[in-house]
Amino acid sequence: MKKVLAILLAACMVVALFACGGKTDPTPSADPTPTAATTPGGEEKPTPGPTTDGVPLGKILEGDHAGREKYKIVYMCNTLAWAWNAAIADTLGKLGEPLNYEFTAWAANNDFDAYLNNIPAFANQGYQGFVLGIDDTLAQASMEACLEAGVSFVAESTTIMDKDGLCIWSSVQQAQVKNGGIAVQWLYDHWKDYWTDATLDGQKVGLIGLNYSAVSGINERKPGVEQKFAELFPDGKFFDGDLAALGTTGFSAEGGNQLSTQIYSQNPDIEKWFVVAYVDDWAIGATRAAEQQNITDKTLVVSIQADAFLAEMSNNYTGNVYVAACAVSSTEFAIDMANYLVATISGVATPETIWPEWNDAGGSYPRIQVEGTMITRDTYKDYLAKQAAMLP
Amino acid sequence: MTAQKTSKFFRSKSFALIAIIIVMIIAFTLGNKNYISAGNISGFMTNISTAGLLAVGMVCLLISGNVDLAAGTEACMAGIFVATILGSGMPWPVALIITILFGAAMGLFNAFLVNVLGFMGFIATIGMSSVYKGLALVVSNGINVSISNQGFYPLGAYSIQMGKFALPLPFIYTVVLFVIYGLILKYTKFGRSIYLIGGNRNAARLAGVSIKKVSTILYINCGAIAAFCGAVSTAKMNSAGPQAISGTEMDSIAGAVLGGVSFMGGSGGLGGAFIGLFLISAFKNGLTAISLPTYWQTVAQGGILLIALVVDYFGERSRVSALKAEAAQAA
Amino acid sequence: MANSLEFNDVGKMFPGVRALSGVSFKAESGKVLALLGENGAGKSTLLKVLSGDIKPDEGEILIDDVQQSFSSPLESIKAGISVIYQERQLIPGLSVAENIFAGDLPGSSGIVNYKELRDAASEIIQKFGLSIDPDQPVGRLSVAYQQMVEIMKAYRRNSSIIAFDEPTASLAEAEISILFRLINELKAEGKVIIYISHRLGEIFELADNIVVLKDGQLVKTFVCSETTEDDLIHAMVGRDIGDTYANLSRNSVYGDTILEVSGLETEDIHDISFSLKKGEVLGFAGLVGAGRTEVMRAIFGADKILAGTVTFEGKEVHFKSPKNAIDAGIALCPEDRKEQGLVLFRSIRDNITMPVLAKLRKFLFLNKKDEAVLADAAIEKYSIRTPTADKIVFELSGGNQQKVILGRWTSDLFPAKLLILDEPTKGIDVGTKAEVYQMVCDYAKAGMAVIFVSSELTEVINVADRIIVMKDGRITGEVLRAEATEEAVLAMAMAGE
Repeated sequence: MKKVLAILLAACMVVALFACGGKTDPTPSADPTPTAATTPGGEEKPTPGPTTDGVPLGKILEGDHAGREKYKIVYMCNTLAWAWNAAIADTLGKLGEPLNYEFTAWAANNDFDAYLNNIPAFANQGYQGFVLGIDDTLAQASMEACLEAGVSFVAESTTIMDKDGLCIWSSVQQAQVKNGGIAVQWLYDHWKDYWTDATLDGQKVGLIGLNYSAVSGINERKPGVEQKFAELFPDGKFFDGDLAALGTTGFSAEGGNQLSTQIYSQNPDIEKWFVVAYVDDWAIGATRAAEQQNITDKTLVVSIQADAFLAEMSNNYTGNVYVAACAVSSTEFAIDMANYLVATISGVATPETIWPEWNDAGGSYPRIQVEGTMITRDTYKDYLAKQAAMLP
Repeated sequence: MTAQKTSKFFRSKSFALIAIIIVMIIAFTLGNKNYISAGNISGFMTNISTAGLLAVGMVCLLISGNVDLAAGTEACMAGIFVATILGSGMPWPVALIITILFGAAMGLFNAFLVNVLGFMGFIATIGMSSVYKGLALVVSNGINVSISNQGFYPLGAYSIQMGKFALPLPFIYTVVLFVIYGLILKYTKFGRSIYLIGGNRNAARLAGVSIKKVSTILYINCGAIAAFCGAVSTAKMNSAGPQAISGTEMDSIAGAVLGGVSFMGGSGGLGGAFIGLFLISAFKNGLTAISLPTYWQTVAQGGILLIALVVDYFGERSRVSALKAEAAQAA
Repeated sequence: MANSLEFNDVGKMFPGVRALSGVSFKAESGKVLALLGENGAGKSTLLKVLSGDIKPDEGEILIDDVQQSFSSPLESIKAGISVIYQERQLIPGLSVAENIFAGDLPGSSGIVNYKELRDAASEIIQKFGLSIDPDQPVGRLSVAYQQMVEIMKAYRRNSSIIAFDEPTASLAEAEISILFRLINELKAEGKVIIYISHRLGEIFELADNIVVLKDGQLVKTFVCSETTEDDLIHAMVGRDIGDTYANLSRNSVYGDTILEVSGLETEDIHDISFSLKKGEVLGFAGLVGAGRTEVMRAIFGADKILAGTVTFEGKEVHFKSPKNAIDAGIALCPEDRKEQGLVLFRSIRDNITMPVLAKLRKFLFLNKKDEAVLADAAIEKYSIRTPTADKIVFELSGGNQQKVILGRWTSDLFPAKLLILDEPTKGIDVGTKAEVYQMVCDYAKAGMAVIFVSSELTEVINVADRIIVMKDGRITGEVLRAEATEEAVLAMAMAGE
């Protein structure tokens, strides 16, 4: 009887795990293993092909899609419970109609072996287009698997790079560095909307960049923030709030709260605080910390990525601390990636020739960097409406 | 006799830890004078409360020779739970009580796994930890659950103003629970029976202690306190995140073990556990104060643990030789 | 307070072995009843039945002529029975007082009254004339004192029936006399005392009545004052062991000096010098704690040598670890088989073949067949009572465990040149003891040198060719067998007291 119960419980656990999975644990991932950049076709530089005029970014590729065979496209990510991934999958699904492809989404739920094994599996089932939602550890291996399977693929959010950081395959990612700068620029332009002081000259300004250095995609935002801040606020003090110091529990609002609390209280000489949270969750923690320290009149918090911001808005947050977020459009991502796959499957373009203006210097593969837009309490509704309008 | 007692104290583990803490505080203050500022201390108190609350239930379990490795995820689940039910508009004290009961239920389930199905506490709660982690993501859809009930917020965020210094409520909860449970462990029969079970299960059984009953109570207790911890943290954030607090139970355990609670069970107490936890947390706080680069922080954290263990080792040796001397005298 | 404990026709069967059958005897209050018997005679089983650990298949236990039925140890305790085992049942982290009153702490409505606890515990401690601090954590006490805490616990429980299982096994002389004093106190209070021991001397000192068990059956009941040692031994084994030593076929041809120790010094021993020839049996006599084991450990490389030299086969050696000594051909049968000798949870076969696993290897794998042959040979040779060689050593009786260790070091594949035996017959029945003595002589005949450490004076002075006596870490005397008498050797072992 004991054994039966134990087996039942184990089965329940397995089902639960599969049903919900987990966010990718932000374990420190090493840079992709050094291998020579495998450029099919080797030495000579291929002639430049369709630019973004030919295969557009941000709007659907035109052409007679209904007149050809129906393609099959799959989105492989780690978990569909994550809002961003779910949004991409959702949009990719909707695009299947105008672009004439069959779509399916698949989540690994931390089983990286299954991820790699499923690439040839899907290929065997006739899937020709792969959107790879990967992290640094999977990058190389999944690229090799796709090349072997002979399918068309594009990396989502994380670029596949060689050891020197050169992009060795097409990818669509957030403009990490640029978005960091955009956030700081926005703060520079709009702080006066919230603070009644006419000028910041002569005041000690500090900026906390809430980071998690172990994840490269997030860490890339730091230089954008740091440099912009040094440029616009030359006398300001930059604080690198690295949540990796708190261990894996740092990757949360609570972590952001703890670290912000410490930095606020350990530097009472700072008169005005800016906080840029590289992940939106942490902005909530920093906001609460400011409230608890009673410095709401001199703290402004913005985040890169806007999901948490939108949640606060729908919750009628009326404070003036968490005021803006750099929203990156998952819709735009999806459109770009769907275009890429359709173009490369149909032969209109090849990975080496498409979007050459987006190649890394000296590289042959485009690294699309999607810029974000700053949205505030006043503008977010318009933004959401615009997003919806991008879909046909 | 008092001379003996004093010298005994100086050789005790607690003293060694307190000495390290004092040295550490001085060192960090020299690095950044704001380390001991009112603001930082206040923030520190809030931060230590999360691990501290979890530690109360955890230490009781540890002394009995068991453990609840899912405590952090239980707190996280409770946080999401309270955020969700507050959405229905019920008064927050009611929501809080229901949440604590929810935590007790999670604890009861752990007790079921351990006492009825016979799993080891270690294994059973590691498993439940994964389950709750996943459930948290399912229920919250991966994003934070916000709270609109404004009355709930002060539960976790309010501080009592004492001049320049703000004493946070969560810290008060922590201290109060530590004191209450400390008294229970030391002065009640139930408390002593926990030591019996941890020290020698067989002897406990022969002494008439109902091991299953005590174990069940301790698991329920741990779950309930974890739920309270989750609720307080959620109140403080005004939202519940699906990744909050999970993993913090390791800090609680590390602090407890450092403070003398043996993983084998049967020894240690809440006082020592508090000191151990204090050391670890104050140290982490100090590293931020002096802006030590992140990866060095991890090295430093390992280092302080090592120092504490080494100091304890030498303290143990001198304790043992002192006892040998006493025994030789008495013989 | 119970007046009598009676076993009536008690029987118990385990798969394949009949542990007890038709055992009937009565123990009365204010008297000590000793249980005597070879290993495997059924003493432990009887004790387990008494303590409620197992239920008898036949027969019953009666207290004051009322039949008892225990379904758990807890019930046996409630009926007034306390069994003091060789393994401690205390909580090391709690104080003496808390252990004595475990489960029954004084105080009202759930709160412990520490003052009352301390006073009550002190009262009991004083009653027994001991000077133990009641707040002292029990884990810091010596083994002997821990045992006394157990006795006080039994006393506090108002147990009217107290059973001791080989209580003097690890006690020093002075501690043994304290123990006897305690037992006599309990006797005076009218408790029923059951005492199990191998040491005839103790039994004669303590017991009023003696029950001899053999192969699960009761052989005879004796009244102590009307019995002699020979009677008892005869009842236990059914033959005269008086000729044991006389019948030994000894070795008289000695070879070269194989071992020479000079000025050896470690933390526990000082200025030890002696030599040993091939074919010689050298005995080491002394009281518990004299340092004999420490000498052996130093030679074997298990302890750090601070000064002095060890010369083996003409070359000076510095064994950094037991492995070095083993490779050189020295074998050590340790005193404490549980802690230092056996891997308790592995099979007999595994334990026997441990040091020679290298030799049993065929390519990369163990030659299971050779392993089995080796193990079976040893089992046969030493009459180890077990159905198969796979039995987990943990389950064997103490004596059989000792035989397993002997089997390990004397298998054909292990060419020992020097065999060190530390208390080899501890816990072994009389019949097997004789076999072991002959084995020792046989090794000597085969050219091995043997060192034989034992606390049983009779044994050591009758088996060894030459006897070295130690006390407090030093050598206090050396005699040849021919000149040795128990009194003389004992005198040397206690020199200066």
